[in-house]
Amino acid sequence: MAGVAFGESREIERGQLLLAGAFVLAVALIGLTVVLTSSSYTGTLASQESEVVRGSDAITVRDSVDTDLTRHFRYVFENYAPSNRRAQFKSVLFPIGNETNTHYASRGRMVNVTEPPSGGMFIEGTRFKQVEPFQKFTQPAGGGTGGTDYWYPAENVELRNATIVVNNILGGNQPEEAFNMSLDTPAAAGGNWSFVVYEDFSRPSGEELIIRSRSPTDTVRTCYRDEVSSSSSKKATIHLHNGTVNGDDCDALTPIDPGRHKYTLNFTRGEKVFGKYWMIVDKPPTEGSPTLNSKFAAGTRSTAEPVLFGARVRYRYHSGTVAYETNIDIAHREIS
Amino acid sequence: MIGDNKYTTEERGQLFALEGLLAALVVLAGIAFALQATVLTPSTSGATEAPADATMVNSILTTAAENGELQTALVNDWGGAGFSGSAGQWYTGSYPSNDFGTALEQGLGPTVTVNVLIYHRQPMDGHQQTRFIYNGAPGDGAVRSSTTLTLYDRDVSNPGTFYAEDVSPSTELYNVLEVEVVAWQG
Repeated sequence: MAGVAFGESREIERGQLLLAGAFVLAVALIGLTVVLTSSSYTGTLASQESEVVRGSDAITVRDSVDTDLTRHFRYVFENYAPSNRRAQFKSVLFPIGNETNTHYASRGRMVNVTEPPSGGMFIEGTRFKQVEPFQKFTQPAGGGTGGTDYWYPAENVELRNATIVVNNILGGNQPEEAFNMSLDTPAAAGGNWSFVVYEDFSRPSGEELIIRSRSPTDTVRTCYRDEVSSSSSKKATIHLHNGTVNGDDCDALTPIDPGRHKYTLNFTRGEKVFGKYWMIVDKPPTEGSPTLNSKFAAGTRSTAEPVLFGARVRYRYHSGTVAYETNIDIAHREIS
Repeated sequence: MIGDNKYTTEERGQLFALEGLLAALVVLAGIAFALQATVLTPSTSGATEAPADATMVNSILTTAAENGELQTALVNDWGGAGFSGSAGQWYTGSYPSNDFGTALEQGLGPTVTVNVLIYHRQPMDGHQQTRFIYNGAPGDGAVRSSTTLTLYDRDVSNPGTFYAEDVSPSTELYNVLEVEVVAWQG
């Protein structure tokens, strides 16, 4: 009897152990399911780091550094004397690189912005300007270079901030009689841009001024504006770098992209136009003729002054998968 | 024999207790799983809709940084103790009424929730975080994008009450902010 009771007790205990084992298995399965679900969620988050792996993060950081330094370069350019601009710009470079790096270092990335190791941080330039509002564009005072109908301010230069204020135009209503400015590439392969400015009084009122450009592929584009006359309110302010005339987009100028290319600048039939202009090129005045037209600085109504054309900094980005180093050219054509 | 039976009864009691414990664990685990499964059911947004567009988030942020909208939003909107247009210190449940806020709202759409956090170094206190838009912990499928924004002394008109301090008093640099946008469907 006792043996039977003992046997029944063992059977019950065994059943309970089996039941407990089943519970343990159930808990384990549910736990495993929860863990697997959690791992897929973690995978979603982990995929966000793919930008770092692919390297696009390095480009994003570079662009933000470029934007921030360009903004400061513009400020220094506009608010400090030429002799102080270099020091003012240089003073923020190290702290910006240091502060930027502290943000990314916590995520295992190294970002640094420094001076170029080989020097040459600043690019010297020249600002040409004719400041008399009703002088012809023929040539600067001081002598002729190629005659009165042909003049070039600079050869083999990068150009930015080219602004022409036309206050009056003489005679002629055809493109071949018009004032012409051309950007000629030194390379034999071409790539030249040119645009002419003239008035055609046979057109409807309000469309007399014509700006027509010719692309390197001989595509001709045209835009029309109001008449230009000696009246102070009737003028055309042409921003070549913005592609605008009197603040409005001009289809003929929009495609012209003078930055980041070397051009020889030509004025033709400058005797047809009255006004003033200014432009910045990436060569210092000391280069002299023929790279820069030395006659220009000698004139009483025109000047060629030294400016800071741009700056170059060294950018480095290193992560576990990406090593990226490059130069950033600051404010290449942004200053207006 | 009597002793053996008594000992067996105690063991059975322990087994009953163990069964009860395990049964409770099963119930609790089931409830936990059910709660989590609720988030992932087909009718909820997180599981069925596409996650927030990471490319769009990055594009909005970098464009706003380039054209100055980000600086305007993070600096000019600061009212001394919080962002001016917010109900508290930061925006919750709404976007700021400036170009950056509009870009986020129109670019990401009404189904996307956004956090915008600003990280900045304090000269004596390490890195700190300031919330610009905060709508709670990010949900499933959250995407993240960040950029840096350099502030110069001239950008901050009232440094005494600004949330970030001047980290370089001897130069024109004021601080470098890291701006992080986290977006998710929800």
